[in-house]
This record gives sequence, structure tokens and C-alpha cells, in this order.
Amino acid sequence: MATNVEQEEVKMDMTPMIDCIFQLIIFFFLIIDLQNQDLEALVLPKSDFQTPDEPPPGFRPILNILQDGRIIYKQVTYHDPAVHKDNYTKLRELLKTWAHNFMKRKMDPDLHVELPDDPLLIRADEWTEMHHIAKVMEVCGHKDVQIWRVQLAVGEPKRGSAAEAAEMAK
Amino acid sequence: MASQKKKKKKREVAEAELDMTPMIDVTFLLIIFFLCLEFKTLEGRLSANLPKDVGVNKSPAEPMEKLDIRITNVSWGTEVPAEHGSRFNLKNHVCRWKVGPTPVRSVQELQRLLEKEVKRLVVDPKDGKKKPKPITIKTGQGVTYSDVTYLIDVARHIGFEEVTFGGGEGTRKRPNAK
Repeated sequence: MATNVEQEEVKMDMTPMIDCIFQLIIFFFLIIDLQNQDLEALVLPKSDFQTPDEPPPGFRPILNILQDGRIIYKQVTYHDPAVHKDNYTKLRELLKTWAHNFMKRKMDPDLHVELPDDPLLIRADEWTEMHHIAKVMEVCGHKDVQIWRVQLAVGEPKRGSAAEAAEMAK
Repeated sequence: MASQKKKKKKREVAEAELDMTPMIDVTFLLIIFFLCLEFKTLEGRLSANLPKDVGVNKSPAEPMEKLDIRITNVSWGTEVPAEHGSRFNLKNHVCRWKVGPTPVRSVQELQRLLEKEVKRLVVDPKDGKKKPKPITIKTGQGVTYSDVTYLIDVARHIGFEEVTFGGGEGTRKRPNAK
């Protein structure tokens, strides 16, 4: 009475599972990055002599300046030329708070005064009028703020860049 | 009977199933990758340190000869709405430069003039070393951020090390502004 039991080898296909895991990893990786509220959707001008941007270990706020001159930090508008005209008080108060409460301060050996030592990154659209950026720099230099380490965000170089034009001129 | 069984077995073997799951998965991966690629633009930065002594320095600063470059907007150009969002791109946006008192009309001319200027070294009062004059960029109405970064690129390419920013003239007057 021997029963003939066929033993089938059950193989599990791992491919879909691995694929799904990869999908999830990429999805969460990108979602975390896209949730970064610091960056507004604007197009930066291209530059050949840029330093690749790696956020420093300390505090580095990012100010976005849109084409119409609106100054935005973490999706909050701190200056709108159409509303505030030439009154930069709200922005100055923000920079003052950063300079005194969040930024590392260091004694300047030449001036013998404590100055904020962390940088501020300005991200402006390529077609933003320079006047709006110059205004932010002006507020940075205010006696109550004194943020002197300013960085300008730029994009990767493209064909027909300044360096190429300069080469052609030779 | 035996030959019929053989035929049936042969037919069973011939039915091959194609597993589409990995292909669909990979396709989705590629779709997500290319969709998100647009957002992940690489960024760089240019240092534009401001003078530290604004409003705090009690001792008079030693003057240092600087090279003034003024950017003037000749034509604002046409605002062409960008594909995404509320942005616009400018077409036929034209600027001219003035290096010191000399007006410059082309990039080639600007480059030649800056190449001459870079050879005129000045002594830095801080460390006594000779170096090219610091550049001060001054901007007129309608000059954009990209015009300035372009000039910085040309100047850095030629050998200028220090770039500072001078006062501007405000925003341009919009034709449809009330």
C-alpha cells in the first residue's frame, strides 16, 4: 500500500519583491527631497566657476527670490515689492533673529566685535532683477544684522557659457 | 493511447508563460526616475562675502583701488511664459558694460579690456601682497541676476579674484504698471 506522493519543489520568485523594495526606496528618497521646503521652483543661472553646493554643518538659511522680487523663506513671503514697497522691516527682523539666535558668532580679530559666522544662501531666478538681490545684501549689512557671509546659488554650466565665449574671443 | 499521451505532454511543454512583472516594475522605476529627474537639478554656489565693517568699524578703512564695471540694460526683451509654473523667460534681453569710463559693446571687447586690467596689480593694504584689482559690479535698472553671474564668470575666467557689489538703480519701470 505504498502511496506515491509527488514532492514538488516550490520556488519563490523574489524578483517582484526586490523590485518593489527598490521602488519604495527611490520613492521615499525622492519624496523626502521634494518635501524640502527651503527650495522654491525657480531656474538658477548657470555658472562655470561655481563651487558644488554642499550644505555646511552649521545653520545656513536659504532665501529664495522670485522673478517678481518676492522674498520667500520656507514658503513664507517676507517681502513682496507689490505690497511692502521699500519697507524691508519684516525681512530685517528675520535676518536679525538668525544673526543673533541661530548663527554661530565669532569674534572678528580686526574689528574686535562678534559677528555671525554662518552663511546665508540666496537663491534667485535667472531673470530676477539684480536690484532685489542687492536689497537683501543691503539688509544683511544693516547694523543690527551684520551677516557678511553671503552665497549666491547658481546652476551647472551649459553650452555657450561665459568661459566658452571667453575662449572664443582669444 | 500511448502516442496520444505523448502528444499531450509535448503540447503542455510548449506552452511557455512570460512573466511580465519584472518588466512592468522596471518600467515604473524608469517612469518615476525620469519624472523626478527634473526636480533634482544640481546646484552650485558663488561666494559673495559682504564687507564685515559695515556699521561697526570705528577706524577708517585704507582705500584700495577698485575696478568698477557697470552693467546697463539696453533691451529688457520679450517675456515668454515658461512651460511650467508662473515663470517667464526673456528673449532678446541685451546688456552692455562699462569698464571704468570705457563703454563696451560685446563680450569679446569686454574680455580684451579685462585681460589688460588684470595685469595691473595693486597692493592689498591688509597683507601687502600684489594682486588684481577687486571688481565692483554696479547694476542699472533691468539688469538681471543672470547678467551678473555671467560677468562674474568672465571676470573669474580672466583671473580676477575678488568681486564686490555696488549700489543699484532700482527696478525697471514696467510699461503696464499703474
